[in-house]
Amino acid sequence: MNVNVKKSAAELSLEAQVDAMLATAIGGQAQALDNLKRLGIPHRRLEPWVYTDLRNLMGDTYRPAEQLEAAPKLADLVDPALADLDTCRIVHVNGYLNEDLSNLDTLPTGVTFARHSDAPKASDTEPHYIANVVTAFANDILTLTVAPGAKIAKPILLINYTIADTPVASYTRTIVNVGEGASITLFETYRGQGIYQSANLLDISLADKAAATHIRHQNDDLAALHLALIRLDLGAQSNWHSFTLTEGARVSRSEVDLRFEAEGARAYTNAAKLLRGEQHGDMTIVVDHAVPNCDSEEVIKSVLEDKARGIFQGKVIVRPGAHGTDGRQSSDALLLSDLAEMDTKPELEIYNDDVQCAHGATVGEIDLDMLFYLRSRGIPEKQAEALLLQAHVGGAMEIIADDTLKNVMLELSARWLGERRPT
Amino acid sequence: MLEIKNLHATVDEQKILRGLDLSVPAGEVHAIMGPNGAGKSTLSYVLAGRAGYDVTEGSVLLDGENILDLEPDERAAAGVFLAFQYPIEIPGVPTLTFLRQALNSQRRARGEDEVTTPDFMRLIREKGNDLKIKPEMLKRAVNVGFSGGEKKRNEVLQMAVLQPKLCVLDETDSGLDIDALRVVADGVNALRSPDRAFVIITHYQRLLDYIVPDKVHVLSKGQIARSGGKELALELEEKGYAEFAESAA
Ligand SMILES: Nc1ncnc2c1ncn2[C@@H]1O[C@H](COP(=O)(O)OP(=O)(O)OP(=O)(O)O)[C@@H](O)[C@H]1O
Ligand SMILES: [Mg+2]
Repeated sequence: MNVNVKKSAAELSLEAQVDAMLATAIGGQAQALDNLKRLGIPHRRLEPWVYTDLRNLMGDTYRPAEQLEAAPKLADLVDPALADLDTCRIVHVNGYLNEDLSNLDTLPTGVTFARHSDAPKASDTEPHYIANVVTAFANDILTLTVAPGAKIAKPILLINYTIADTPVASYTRTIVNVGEGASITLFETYRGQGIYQSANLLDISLADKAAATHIRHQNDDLAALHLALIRLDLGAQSNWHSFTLTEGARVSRSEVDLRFEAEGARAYTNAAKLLRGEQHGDMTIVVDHAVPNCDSEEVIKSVLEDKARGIFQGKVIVRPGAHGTDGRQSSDALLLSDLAEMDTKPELEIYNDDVQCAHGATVGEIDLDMLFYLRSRGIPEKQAEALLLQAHVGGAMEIIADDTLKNVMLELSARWLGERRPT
Repeated sequence: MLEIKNLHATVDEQKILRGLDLSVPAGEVHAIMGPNGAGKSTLSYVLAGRAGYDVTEGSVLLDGENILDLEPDERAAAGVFLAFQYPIEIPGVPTLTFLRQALNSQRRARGEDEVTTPDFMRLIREKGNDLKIKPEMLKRAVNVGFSGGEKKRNEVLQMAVLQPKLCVLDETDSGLDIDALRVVADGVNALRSPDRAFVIITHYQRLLDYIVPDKVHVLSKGQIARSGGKELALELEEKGYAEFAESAA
């Protein structure tokens, strides 16, 4: 009897693409290709992928996206809710930097931009699927460098748009180095049209006392597959405030890999997930407290409708000697239908006594007492529900210090809630 | 204004209201007293349309219109207001947002124009001042972190802003200190008008010194067991409910 799992069409296609490139690739790219060839597409028998059986969920075979001949209009690429934001834009269409649609000339003083294809960092040789696939196939690497001490007020908007007539895969790879005492706001957006895979790797390193605010709006096409990995190195007393709103893609997996490298750093990685239909949205976070006296917190709020499935995997590692660690995680999901599902997997690996770690997970429904109270004051059911759901989701947005940005995110979540079908 | 006839209602398949009749004309204040568990809050929830409080028989007319078929928000727009015995806390929803949405929803439902932001803020400031509600309280989430008395004052504030036709107050006096009781009573009295009716559920005769009722009813075992003038409240204060416990046993 043949016990080998038959390779899926997507796997065979990936393998062919890998084979075509292996002969000429060098360094980290060669290593990544080799990893892909060896490991294939992750599946549910691998612990980190137990809820997101990518091999099964991938379905389509994606050929590498090509650069479009006719560039789309900027207005079509930017979400209307973001249209009035004063930002510096860096636009990728189908994984290719589009300098015409970007406004790199408005890059604030203190930020420099480079486009290159250097040999990737050593850590890219880790057998991590998203890292490998982006390292193997990304067209180029963008690096943003913030000079020490530079306080950059204007958000850098990273717009990623994919247009697919037939299934294509687009890849982006971005490296952000924030110098000592510097600060920056990054805003990533993901949208597109058609059946595609968007895979994205973002490496951020914060030097001592640096700070980054990070907002991410994943609103890829409902036929798309979205993969993302953010790898974060945190210097001494650095600050990371991140909020992700996930509302797009048929299947999404968004990972954050956060490593404390020196004492006194704080990292808040929050997210809201708004999913309906048969969407599958996975958020996976690994926080590695390798040094003492760092704080980390993740607040995840989900609203799941229809047959949507949400996943939160949160792993906190506290290494020997990392005393004074404060690590917290919470995941709260509201299910709007009997068929919606939330899976939560918290993992604590603590090798130390002097730590405070807490995690909590709730899965529930809209509170009927609250709903009745609102309705008894004249607020119709759908609006009352929207108020309660907005309040739920808003709980993850409190870390956004900038009111303008926070209001944009509130507007986006209100829009999703407003698109709920009447029952 | 309010006509309740032969009202029967169940909660969790238990019969709680068993043929209740009550008629409150416009302009009047009726107090409802009665022992714990008699069904007073049940009556208030049935009027407001809470799920799980099932009417099995009888009718409730507001200005001649049957409200039992209306959704809770439709009843509110029609003029029904319930000040809850236990106001609900709603984390994450600012009181101002809530009040404004409530007022405008009702106005929309009645085909009236929405109030503008400045008009709304003026209205809130004025009513809040009357009820000695600190403006910072209105920025907080609905009832979250409010003291017991603050919650009750917030109920009366909502009533003052929404200007309902029928005000049902369920033990709005409990948990209030003496000064707050005055403030709340003044708030209620300010709302008394020829085209508004009040049903005031209370255990304490003291409230009725401030809000003088036209009628007092005793609700016991799911029915109005006795009705009288304001002196009935004094009598109950003295004798308790023993009489009703026996007669209905
Ligand atoms: N959800 C419920 N399930 C079962 N029984 C209920 C429920 N709610 C109320 N009851 C019962 O209905 C009866 C009437 O309750 P209700 O709250 O109306 O009394 P009340 O007159 O307001 O009392 P109190 O003076 O204590 O406020 C009580 O016996 C109570 O236990
Ligand atoms: Mg009661």
